[in-house]
Amino acid sequence: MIQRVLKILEQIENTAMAVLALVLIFAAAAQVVLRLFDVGVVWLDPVLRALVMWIAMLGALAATRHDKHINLDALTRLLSGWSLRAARLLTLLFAAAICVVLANASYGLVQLDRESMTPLVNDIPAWWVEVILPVGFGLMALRFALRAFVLPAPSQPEAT
Amino acid sequence: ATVFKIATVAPDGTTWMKEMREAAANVKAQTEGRVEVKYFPGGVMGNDVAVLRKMKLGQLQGGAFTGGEISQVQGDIQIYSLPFLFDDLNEIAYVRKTMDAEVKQRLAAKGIVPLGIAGGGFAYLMSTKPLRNQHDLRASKVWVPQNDKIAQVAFEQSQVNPIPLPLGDVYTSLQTGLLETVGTTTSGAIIFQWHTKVKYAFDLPLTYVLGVFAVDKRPYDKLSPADRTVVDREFAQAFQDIELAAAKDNENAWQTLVKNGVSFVKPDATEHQAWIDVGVRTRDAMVANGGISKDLLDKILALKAEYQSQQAAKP
Amino acid sequence: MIWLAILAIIALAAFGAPLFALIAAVALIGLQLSDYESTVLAVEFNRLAESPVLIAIPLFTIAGYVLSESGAPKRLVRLTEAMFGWLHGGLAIVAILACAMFTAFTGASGVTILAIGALIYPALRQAQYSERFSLGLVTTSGSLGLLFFPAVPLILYGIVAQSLGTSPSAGVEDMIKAGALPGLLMVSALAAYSMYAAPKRAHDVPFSAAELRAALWDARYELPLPFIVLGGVFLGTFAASEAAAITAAYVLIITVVIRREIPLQRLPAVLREAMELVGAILLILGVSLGLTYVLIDAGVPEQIFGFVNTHIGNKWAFLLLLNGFLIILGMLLDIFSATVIMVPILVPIAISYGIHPVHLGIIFLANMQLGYFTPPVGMNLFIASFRFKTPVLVLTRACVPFFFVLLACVLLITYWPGLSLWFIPPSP
Ligand code: NA
Ligand code: NA
Repeated sequence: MIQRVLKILEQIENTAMAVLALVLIFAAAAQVVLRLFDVGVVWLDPVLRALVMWIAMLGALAATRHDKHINLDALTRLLSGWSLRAARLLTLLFAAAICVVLANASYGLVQLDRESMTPLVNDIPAWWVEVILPVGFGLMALRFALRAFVLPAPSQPEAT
Repeated sequence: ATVFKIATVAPDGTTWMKEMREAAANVKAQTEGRVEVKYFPGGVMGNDVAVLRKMKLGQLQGGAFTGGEISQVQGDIQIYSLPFLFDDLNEIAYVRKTMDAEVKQRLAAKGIVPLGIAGGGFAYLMSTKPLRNQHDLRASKVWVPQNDKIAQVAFEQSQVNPIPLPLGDVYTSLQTGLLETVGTTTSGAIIFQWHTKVKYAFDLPLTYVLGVFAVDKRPYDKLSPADRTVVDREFAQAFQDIELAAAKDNENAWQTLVKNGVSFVKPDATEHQAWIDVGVRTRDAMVANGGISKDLLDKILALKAEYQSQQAAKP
Repeated sequence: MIWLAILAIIALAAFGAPLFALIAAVALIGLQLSDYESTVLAVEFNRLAESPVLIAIPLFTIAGYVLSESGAPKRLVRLTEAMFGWLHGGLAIVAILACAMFTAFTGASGVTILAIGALIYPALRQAQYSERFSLGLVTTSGSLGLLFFPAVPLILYGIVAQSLGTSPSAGVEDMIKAGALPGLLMVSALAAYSMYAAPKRAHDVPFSAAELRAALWDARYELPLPFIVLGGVFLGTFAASEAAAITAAYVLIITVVIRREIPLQRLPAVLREAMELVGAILLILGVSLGLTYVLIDAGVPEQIFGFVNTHIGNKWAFLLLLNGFLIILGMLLDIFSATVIMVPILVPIAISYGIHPVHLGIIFLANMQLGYFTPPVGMNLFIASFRFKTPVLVLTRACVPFFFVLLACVLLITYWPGLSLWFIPPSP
């Protein structure tokens, strides 16, 4: 049951990422074409930059799923068995804890910008974009905590 | 000691920073070290939005802003920058003598105390292409600063579809032809190196550029009245000097621009009137959308009329 | 207490904790010491959404991933072979050129070894290049091209350096122009060494006009790419972020719509892989903005600055130490983390010695390039070891001559600023 829910969540995440990536590519290209034809759209640039932020957070969340976060792994390459388990438990729970703090900190940012009604552009409030930060870090914390108890698939030095 | 951490985008070594550092040194000496002002120049603290956020969180106690940037806190601070509101600097000086106190007060009511307002002179439109009238302007790629509400409304009123970009991207964009026309003071054109790109300028004062140095009200109110007086006095002095220096810089910059082959074109009477009309429509639109208070605008217009009748009465 | 925390962080780093978490932890300790709320970290992180050039990173990363999943590597190798294969040491030169171009597009993420190295290694062996030479060449070339636009580390350096607001400044466009000649120097030096080290009668590829024509035709859709990317920026038609937008859209259209080498069902997975790398990089960049803030607020750069200035007398001594320091840094840290953490500290110091931040950037990246195949961290060693089923130690030995060739280039780049600043107008 939990497996099924996780699978569905992952699929939603994958789809969201692909859609955001495609929107980013074609909106950015459209902006260039529009500029060449002398048309500027005031809200397009802030929206594109907001998209980068969302993609960064969703990408980081997915990177957690596949152990793709950048780390120094010279030592861990030498570990196996229980020592590898212990190292993962320690480091991934640490990462989860940091993500909790970051989620809390970004919730503070969202609050701050809601109170002062900081705009992203025109009438769009900035916090609509920023809300991905507490949500993203929160989910990342959860995922790190779960991964702490799971060993990765047989080691495959992949391109990062 | 109370430490004021101040962010500014001005790079270290500029006239602005020299004056600000001098004021800080004087404040420290005269308060016997009770008040210290520390600067973070060069934009290391991020853009205006980030600086305002940090002021709320107490990481920073102040910043230097353009009128447009600080207008997100209180719109009226930008009122002197309405396009074509003033014809020359004397007129502004006359109006500001009476009005500055009230304008500052309105911002202070929002928790941010402006210690100094410095006029940076008039901005002019400059272009890589010939620029004689509104028609030329509409046909070119015009820059508008992001978050500058007044400029956006003004361009809307003259049916220009401008390209919004952050300041840092303007130079490259002039180089690449993504932008052709920019609005800035003559010295601004030189500071940002845009003068190496533009060839034509429109000889019509577009808007009065404003620099605002503002601090968080909370630490400011905690100062003893005596220390507060020192801070007020020293920064008022610094800003007076900055304004004088800016006026001189602008004059010299004008000469440099001309020497560099930039031709200033004066608009004819019809064209001039067309621009004045844009100014009036922009004012109305800003009042209508709540960006500017009507009562304040009326007071300023009355003072302007007063100044003009005084001038007319002079022999 | 503070030492205990630092020890804990070092231990966690050694055991493979994600770097972003470590950087964030250090920043949080700093905030704690200055009595700031943790919200500050989020405010700084949010500056990711402030930089207009940042968009170039996801866009070029996507383009690189899509290209490496398509038949582009094969066509690139075929084309360079038709053009240069007939030279003495021709196949080695093909490997160098193809790797450099491909790395520029994939940002030295190790994909080059998998995509190009795997194609060329068997060809090298068949043409009687020794195993050691072939392995060394392929492993080394995996990071060649880091100085060429649109390599993401080059862009990242420009973004971080520009955010410092120094004078003179170093923007992305400056870095693009600066990287060209030093990059060519490294490519030529490796090519020259390969010509010297190639077997006497290397069984290379004879020249054929027909094959060249066919190869050109085969690569007709990819051929405009370098011109869009480089020509656009050098001639000033596009800003870096715009070149990225056009490139990504163009690559997607040719591979998915026109050539159909990536089926539509496979596309989301390719995009996701690219996004994972983007997420990992930007997460590190975001938290390091927080760390940089903490350091600036506490006046740490000024202190380091003062220390370095009193102890190191002149520019040349500083540059020598800088090289040593950067090689070690490159051995220990990946290029993205090294950039976001060290650049804000290094740039002001370098400027005080009269070193242009653009030149510093090229020195920085060139040193980091060595780090890619220097143990213990050198990522390319591990990727090559996995791909060619060879022990890391053997690979390390194979890389030694190449290391010294590139080290000589790094020194030349360091002590000849003009090479990097050739296309950079003197600052006012
Ligand atoms: Na740019
Ligand atoms: Na920074």
